[in-house]
Amino acid sequence: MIPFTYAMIALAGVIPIVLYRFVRGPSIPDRVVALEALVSIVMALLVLNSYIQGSSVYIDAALVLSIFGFISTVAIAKYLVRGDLFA
Amino acid sequence: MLDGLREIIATAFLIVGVFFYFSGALGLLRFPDVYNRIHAATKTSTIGVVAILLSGVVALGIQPVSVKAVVIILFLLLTYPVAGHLLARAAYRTGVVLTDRTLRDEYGPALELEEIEEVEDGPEEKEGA
Repeated sequence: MIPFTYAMIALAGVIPIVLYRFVRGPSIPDRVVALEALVSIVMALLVLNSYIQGSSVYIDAALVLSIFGFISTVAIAKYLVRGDLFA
Repeated sequence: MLDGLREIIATAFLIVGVFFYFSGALGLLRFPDVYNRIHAATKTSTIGVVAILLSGVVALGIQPVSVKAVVIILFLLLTYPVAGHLLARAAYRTGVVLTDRTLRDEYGPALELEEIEEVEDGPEEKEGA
């Protein structure tokens, strides 16, 4: 049996390190990078859960999460440069 | 026989993915600069997610799950570098300082040149219109 469960446990151990950077900062892009890494970890957890159960329900959530992560990062970057989103 | 080989390859992909996640988190924790942290986080996240998705594709064969996994891989390979680039650009343009150990900064002079050209070009365009 492929050890998907152990991989999930190991990835859960990565989350506190990323959260430390998210809380600590010091600048806004730091927090955005940490959030992006967190999104990718949660995405991997959803994918692994989907593999364990053999159902394609959770992997849809991972797809949507990846799209939202990209769009939110682009929006924050644009907001930081221009000071306005739809200018 | 073939199933055993499949399990070995899938487990190897899984180990690679988890290792890259750990190294990315380490870079996020220890690197001195926003730009270094962006570099660490985006590259390792890309390889980590792709490796974990590929392990499932190898393990499960052709199924609805693995087709969706391939779609996610393509999307991530397109979008992660773009997001990292935009974030680094936004960080530089909002004036986040570089670390003391930076050897060369080529983007700063290029950015100044661009701003000077924009100021010079501005009035001419208005006269033309």
